[in-house]
Amino acid sequence: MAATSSRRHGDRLSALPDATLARVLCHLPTGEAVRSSVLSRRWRNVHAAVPVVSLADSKRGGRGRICSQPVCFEHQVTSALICRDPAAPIRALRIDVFHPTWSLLDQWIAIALKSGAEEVDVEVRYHNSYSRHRLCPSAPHEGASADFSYQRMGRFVTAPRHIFRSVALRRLRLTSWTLDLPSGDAPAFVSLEALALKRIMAPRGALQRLLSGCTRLKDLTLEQCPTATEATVASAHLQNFTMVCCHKATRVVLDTLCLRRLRYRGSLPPDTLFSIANHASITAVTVDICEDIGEKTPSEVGTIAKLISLCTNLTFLHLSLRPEMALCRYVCTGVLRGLTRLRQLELRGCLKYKVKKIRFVGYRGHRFERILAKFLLSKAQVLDEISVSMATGRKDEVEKELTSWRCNSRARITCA
Amino acid sequence: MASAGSGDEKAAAAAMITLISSDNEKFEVTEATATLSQTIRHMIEDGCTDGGVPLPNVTSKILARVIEYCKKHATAAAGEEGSSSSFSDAAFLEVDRAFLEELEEFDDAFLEVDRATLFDLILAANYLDIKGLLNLTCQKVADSVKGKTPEQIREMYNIVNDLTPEEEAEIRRETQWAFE
Repeated sequence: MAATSSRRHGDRLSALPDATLARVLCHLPTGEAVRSSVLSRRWRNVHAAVPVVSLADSKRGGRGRICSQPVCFEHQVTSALICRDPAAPIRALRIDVFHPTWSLLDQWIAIALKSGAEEVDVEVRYHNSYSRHRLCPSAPHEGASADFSYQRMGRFVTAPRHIFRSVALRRLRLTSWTLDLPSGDAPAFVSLEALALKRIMAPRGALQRLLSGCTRLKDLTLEQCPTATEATVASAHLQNFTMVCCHKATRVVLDTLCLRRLRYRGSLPPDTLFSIANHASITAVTVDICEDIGEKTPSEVGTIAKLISLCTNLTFLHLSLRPEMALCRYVCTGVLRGLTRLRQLELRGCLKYKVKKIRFVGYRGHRFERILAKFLLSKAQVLDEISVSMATGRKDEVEKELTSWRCNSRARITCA
Repeated sequence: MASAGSGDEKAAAAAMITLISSDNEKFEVTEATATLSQTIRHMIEDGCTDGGVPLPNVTSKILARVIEYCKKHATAAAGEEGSSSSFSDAAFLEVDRAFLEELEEFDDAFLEVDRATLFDLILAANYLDIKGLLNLTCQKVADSVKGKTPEQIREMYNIVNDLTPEEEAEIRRETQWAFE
């Protein structure tokens, strides 16, 4: 009854407490949150207490080809900071900016930190196209490389030092910055829980100095950081570690005993890349090899299998290998053996149009064999033949099950 | 260590709390489920939950939904913690989604409610201080107004514009940067 009448007449949104309305608005980009001020008198000042400042510059393109916009982005951010209620703290500053005035950028960050911000996420984009190229030798563009070219070193703007002295910051993400931490200026990031560094230029040792200062880190992401060659994460609280296209990395030491999720994208890792204190705590692993492993020897590929097999308590495994044939050959050679707790398996690679023949040897109808068989049969559209030599079990039942999974009804199924 | 920990967990799981809705219906829940609510957690800490916790602001219909949410998330929290502190990483977003799929599917299905229920859930989450549920429901409202003009939002939520044209013009002038 009450529900029906309120739907017709009442304004239940405006009736929510101020703090709850602010909580609704903090999920919107700041521009939209501020526009709520014209809804009605009730809404006039609600936006001013929203603890999140989140703006993305819509400008794209290179020098001279910048799309115009009515109000310049710097003006927008500055206005957004000014129109806030000075008594309301800024919890999060999220800015995606295209070639701003550097001194202003520093000031925005300083204002947020002074206000006690817990999260700072600033992505800088530049005129030059190199700032957009993925730092991956397997990337499709011309001259693809794992590192910034020598002439361009230090061209990214330097991250303001006061970030690294903040005691309130819990989450920090920096994209396309130069990290300059002089050796005498070791940060002590006692409160930082999540750190994501992407496309960072840094002099030797700076990255490690930063990591050494983060003693409470739970979540670390290093993406396209060519200077991440040797990294030791000292935090005993680390739960999630992600490394994406840090192709120069030779050694990563994770001293934590409570790592839960490990995500790696890059070239085939050398055997010595990861030193992990406790494999048993890891429940989720993602491995995405971006180079073509078609020509690699089994022992080179074996490092992944070894890594995975050490994580005996995995419940989630995602594997992505190129070319697709590698996936099938490699997965079938025992990666899954021993993963008795696996609940979810994902394999990426296009089996669709190439795989003609699949053979299972020693099929017992265990859960993982069935998951794998189902996956393969449901993806392989041009499959001609699947042959199964069974270790135990009833042939007719297995045959029936396999038949129900195949997506190409012409594929022959033989069990022996 | 490990066995002691699981023993504690068992003890906690066995402790039951009775919640009483505004229409006097009683709900038995485990302490692990109930303590997703900070309000109830504080009551438990103060030792004033004997004889049940009356929740005069929450109807049985809404309380049942809230408990459904807490049960699901209490189990999930035991297995997977700390995700709130992490960034959603663009490169691995799809993978993360797969990993959290079950919980997300639950949340999506959970939010398939009419608007009146959504507001009741927001008020209940606010009163019971259940951060995850409050965030989820507020996000749902935010998503519904995203990209909409003030006129569209007013119509959607029956908001009466009581600003005089002069006042509206003044606000627009003050916040002009956001309107262009």
